[in-house]
Amino acid sequence: MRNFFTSISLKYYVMFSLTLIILLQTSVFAGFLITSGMPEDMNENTFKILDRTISASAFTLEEHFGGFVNLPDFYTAVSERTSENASALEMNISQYLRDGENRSQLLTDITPDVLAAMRASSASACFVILENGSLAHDAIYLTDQNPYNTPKNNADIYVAVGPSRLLYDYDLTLDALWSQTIDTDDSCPFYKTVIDSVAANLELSADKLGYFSVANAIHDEAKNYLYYTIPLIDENHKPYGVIGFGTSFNQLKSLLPDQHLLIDTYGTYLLGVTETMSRVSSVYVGNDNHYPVLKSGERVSLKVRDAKYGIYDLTVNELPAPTSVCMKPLRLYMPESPYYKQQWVLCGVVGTDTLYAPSDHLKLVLAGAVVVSLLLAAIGTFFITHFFMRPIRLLNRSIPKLSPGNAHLPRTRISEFDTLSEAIEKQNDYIYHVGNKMSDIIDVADISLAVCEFDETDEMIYCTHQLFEILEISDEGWELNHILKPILKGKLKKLEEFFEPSRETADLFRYHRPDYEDKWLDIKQQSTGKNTLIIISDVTPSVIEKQKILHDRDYDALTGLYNRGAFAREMKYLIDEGHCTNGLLSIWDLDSLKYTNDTYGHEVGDRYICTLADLLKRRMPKKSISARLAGDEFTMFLYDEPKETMIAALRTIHAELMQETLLLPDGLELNMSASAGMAFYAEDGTNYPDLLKYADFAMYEVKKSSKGSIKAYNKERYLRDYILVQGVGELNRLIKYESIKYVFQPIFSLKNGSIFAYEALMRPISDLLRKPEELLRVAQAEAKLDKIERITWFHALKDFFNQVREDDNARVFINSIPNQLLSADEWMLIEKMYKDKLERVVMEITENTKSELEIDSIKRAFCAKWNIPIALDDYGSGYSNSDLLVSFDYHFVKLDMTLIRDIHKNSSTQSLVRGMIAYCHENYIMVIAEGIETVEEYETAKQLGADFGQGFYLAKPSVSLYSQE
Amino acid sequence: MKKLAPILLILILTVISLCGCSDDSHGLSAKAPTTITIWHYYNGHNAEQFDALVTEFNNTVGRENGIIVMSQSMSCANNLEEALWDSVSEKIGSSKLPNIFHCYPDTAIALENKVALVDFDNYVTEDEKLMYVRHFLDAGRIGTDRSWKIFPVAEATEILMLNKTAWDKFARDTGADINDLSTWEGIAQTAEQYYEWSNGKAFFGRDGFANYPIVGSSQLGHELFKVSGNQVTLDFDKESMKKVWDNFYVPYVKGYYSHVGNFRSDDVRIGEIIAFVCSSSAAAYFPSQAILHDGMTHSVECMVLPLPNFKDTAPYATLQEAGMAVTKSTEAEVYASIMFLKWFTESEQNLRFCADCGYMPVSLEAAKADVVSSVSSDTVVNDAIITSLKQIEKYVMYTPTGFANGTQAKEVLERTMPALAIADRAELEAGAVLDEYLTDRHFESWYSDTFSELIQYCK
Repeated sequence: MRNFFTSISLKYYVMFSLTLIILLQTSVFAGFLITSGMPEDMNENTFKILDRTISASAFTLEEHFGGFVNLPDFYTAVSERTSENASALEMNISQYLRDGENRSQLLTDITPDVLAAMRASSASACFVILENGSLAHDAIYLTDQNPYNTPKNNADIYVAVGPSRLLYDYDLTLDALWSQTIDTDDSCPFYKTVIDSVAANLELSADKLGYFSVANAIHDEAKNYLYYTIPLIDENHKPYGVIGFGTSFNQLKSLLPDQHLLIDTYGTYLLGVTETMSRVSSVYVGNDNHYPVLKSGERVSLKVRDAKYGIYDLTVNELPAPTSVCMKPLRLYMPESPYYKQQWVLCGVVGTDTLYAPSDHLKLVLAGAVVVSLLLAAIGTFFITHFFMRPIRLLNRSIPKLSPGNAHLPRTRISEFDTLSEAIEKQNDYIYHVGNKMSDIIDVADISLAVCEFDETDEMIYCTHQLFEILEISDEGWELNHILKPILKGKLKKLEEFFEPSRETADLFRYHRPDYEDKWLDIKQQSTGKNTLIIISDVTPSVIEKQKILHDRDYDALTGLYNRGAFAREMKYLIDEGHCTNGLLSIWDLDSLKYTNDTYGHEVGDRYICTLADLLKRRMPKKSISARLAGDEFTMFLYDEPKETMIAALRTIHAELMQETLLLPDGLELNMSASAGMAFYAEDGTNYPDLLKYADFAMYEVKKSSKGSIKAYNKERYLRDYILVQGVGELNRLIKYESIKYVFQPIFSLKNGSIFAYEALMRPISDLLRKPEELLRVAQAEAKLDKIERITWFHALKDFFNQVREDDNARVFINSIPNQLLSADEWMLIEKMYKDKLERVVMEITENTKSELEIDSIKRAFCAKWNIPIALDDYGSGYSNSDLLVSFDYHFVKLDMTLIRDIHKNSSTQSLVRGMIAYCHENYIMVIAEGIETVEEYETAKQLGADFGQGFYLAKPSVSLYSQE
Repeated sequence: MKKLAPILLILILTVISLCGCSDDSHGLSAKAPTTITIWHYYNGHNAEQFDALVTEFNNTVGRENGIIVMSQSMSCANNLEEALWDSVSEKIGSSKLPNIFHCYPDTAIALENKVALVDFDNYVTEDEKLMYVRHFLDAGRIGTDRSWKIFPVAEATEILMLNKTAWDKFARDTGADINDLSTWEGIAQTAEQYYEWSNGKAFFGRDGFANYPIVGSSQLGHELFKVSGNQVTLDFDKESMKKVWDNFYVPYVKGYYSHVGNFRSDDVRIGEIIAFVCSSSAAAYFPSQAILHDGMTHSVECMVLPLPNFKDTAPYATLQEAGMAVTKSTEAEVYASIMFLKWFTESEQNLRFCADCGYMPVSLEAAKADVVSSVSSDTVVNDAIITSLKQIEKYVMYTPTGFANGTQAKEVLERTMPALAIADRAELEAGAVLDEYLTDRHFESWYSDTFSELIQYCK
């Protein structure tokens, strides 16, 4: 995610600020409305409306009940009719009413009055009950279901109680539960109250004793009526019955329609009697379904909410919701009435919430308005900014797509942005020209150089036209130094296979396209972030030039084969860098090239060489390389084939060579012949120098034995003879530079312990031929022992006499190589150099079977001439035996160290040595025990009678004579 | 962004429409209730039951849907009709036409062209129609196009009710056979027998007199008012009428039958008669106590018997009750009215009202003997309903086709014969000679008077 806070679209800035302004506006608006007191006004209005409604209803109710109270005609009619009837029978009222028939007659007679009163007062019931001294009172009790419907006949009037004869005289209908008498206790609880009030209020007229009460409907306990009853009082001020009106609760319901309480759909009326101002006894409640706790007879407590409008809260449990009432007193009793203190009240019962519903609604609407307008503002500004931002967005989107030379940006018609766009366009044009300039420069400079630059996210690639020229492909799709990425990719994809990386140089590729000339391309790539720059240059001429130089460096001018250095590099590539798994290295040597050269001249020699080279070139297997190592030496390396195949191939070539002839200038034909040695990679050796050494050794062996054949490297023979091969050069060097030094080992007298003589021991200064034996072996093989003999004599003597003190008469033992003689001139030179000192020289010789007697005699003659004693070296081993001792005349015998070794432990050797010493002493030959290395050997040698001792125990050989006194 | 725009637009519109708070309830709103008025002819007990149900509706469904039903009892069909016509003719002081009123087919036809009535087919689905007793529903179709203008709410047919306590005493003494009460002829004979046994007390009376000649005439093969299209043909067959006369007027003047109060049930109660034909809806008024021949009040038992027929005829009876018509007014009021009627005739409410008042439910589910028995607390009412239900199965239910002046024509039938009989009987009691009233001439005179009255309504 981008950092949201660092870069936000202009759109959001505009949107947020517009929304903020609208938020402020609506808040101010809402704030004013709320602080203006409008909600309170609305609440007061609600209270007022409720107050008026209840007042109006109270008035309606007072009017209705007033119809009962203010109906003196009914009372008058009934009492007059009673008086009349009684008078007609000359009775007073109480007498008259004592007879049931009279009562029945009276009730029948007053029926029209009852009907009239009923119609006049719109009562739902109207009745006259006569006192008869029993509980079952005679009565007429008429009901009307619908007091406000007054048909012409009396079809809607039912007789609930009354004499049956009513039916015959009046057009009336009997109630389903019609009865002829009424039980005042059960059905008219008010009856007794009213009758009793007469005696208690003698001063009051009947109309002042009117009494309101609630009781069950006659015959139906499920229904309630609100009754108004007045006592009938006779001339003696005694009650003889009551007249009354009833208002059914159903009628109350139509008088007090709940729906008048508009503010609450569940609002209803409650009619009650107050006990105190905070307590009401419910008489009637319109909707006792919703307010069962308020039904008739229940008492409810009140708490003032608003005294001005008579609003109280009901403090009753089990209300469906917090409920309030608007309470208005009803004037039902006059001040004289004994019931005056019973204060009837009419209440409008409404949910407390509904009192505040309008203001709450206003607040809700305001809140809603704020929210909706904010929402609309947000959406509106979103769309508006979206609309206005469109050109800017388009511009924004166009910028990344800007391509050089096509730098047109859409105009936003917003001056600031358009100025910016123009600047960008100019900048872009400038960059384009700069870019083109680069391309032009490359063109003019005629450098085969192509530049290609692309960005991961960009569809366009910058590239110069040279790319297509260098790669020799069509430039279709390229325009103004740009090309679409997919097009270029498509083009390059096809060329992919033609690129062949060079082995030597990392960025160099051979562009090898069929039907086209090969090219050498230098491809350099540089990436910085998403940006990649590729520079391709055609380096074909310089590569070809370089290749030519390399060829001259690597190839032999005469034969066209690799030269030694190139071959070594190739071998390094194949073996050291692991480009082959096995191989056969062969070394060829042309036999008798030297002879040909010497005999026929170098021109023929060259032809001789070229013949082999041509053959090698011609017959070279695919997996092979060959080279001319030196004048007549060739090499060939075959690889990655089974061993047998490679050997066979080699042999075939060799066989072919052996068939070839070379025409000589004298017309003769010279048979071609070459010797070859081979070594196997990797069984014989794992690096090129070793392999070369081994193959060379094998070839050398052939050369030494049977020329013109092929031999494989043999490790055992090599280990034995390599020195012969290797040592030749070294030997020559040693000889040439006389690189041999001599050390001296003292020979002690076993009789007195003095140094009798020093033996000069040869030490070649060489890594290869370190041991004298190796040197001698090579020298012998090379027939150069004579040179060693010469060096020994001259050097050993020189070194000895240069060091030896004047007073020291010690002798020096010189080891003369058997069968080797110094030349006469050399002898003379020695005589001349050491004429006086030669008597101190002892010639130590080694005897063997091959010793040529003639040479020995010459040596002896020389020794005899200069009185040089002769010592026999290594007596007791090999060829130095006692037989020889007999044949020659020696002055010293050096017992071989094999005899001296552990002689103190071996008694048979002791007796043998004792015998030898005895024999020597008999023949006046002094005995030297060689190789004494321990004190026991020394003691034993001494005890056995040896004259002199020599060995590590006594003294080690040293370059200087006196270093270890 | 472009996809978001329509979504946002819809969101805004939704918010706006929610603020508008309009819902598809045909203009009904709990906050601003629609008040509808209903005029019915139920009276007394039945009216109370009806009003109780109205109150229940107002407190429940009405409150939820914003409907207040104001019901007004017009005490009887005649009063209702009178008030209706007053309203139609916009008589000074008359009430505004109610939304719903009790209406007979004749009245509905008569109101045509004056008051637009709702065609219930537009408001009641076919599935809903299946919930009603088809026959009752069809009885509400009027006019040539048989459009459904009268919604059945409670039906009734005529039955015979008998003070069993009194009858048992009489039968024990005289051997009178209860089966004789299945024919008009039998009733006349039994009444004579009772008159003699009781020393001059009447035996029988009947409510809804007009049904007697109308059903009787049809039963005897002469449909009094034959309606075809707008044309009414009067078939006032003298012979059939003579039979009607012989079995009512004649026993009446002889004192075997009587008619005192507004309803015969009242007459039974005051001991005037012991048997009467009435609508099953009068069953609730059958007294549990009555004054018997000794002048004293006694507990009485009731016996419900099927409607008698003329001897040797197929049994015929008629449907007695009016249904409810709805006047065309605002959509809200019409919907409120229909909602009330549907609610009132839902099986539960319908059963409650009918089982209490002696009506046959119009809801198919409720109109079953066992269902009614299961809720009825009053055996007399229960018997009356069950007898009615059986009767509509076994009897030919003859429902006269309504016609414009049908109400007046029926009023003639309702009035002439009983009025003559009551008057003549009064004269007889005042000392007139009986034979003068039993002559054919006297019958002819009634016949021709009545015929001339009737014919003017059958043009």
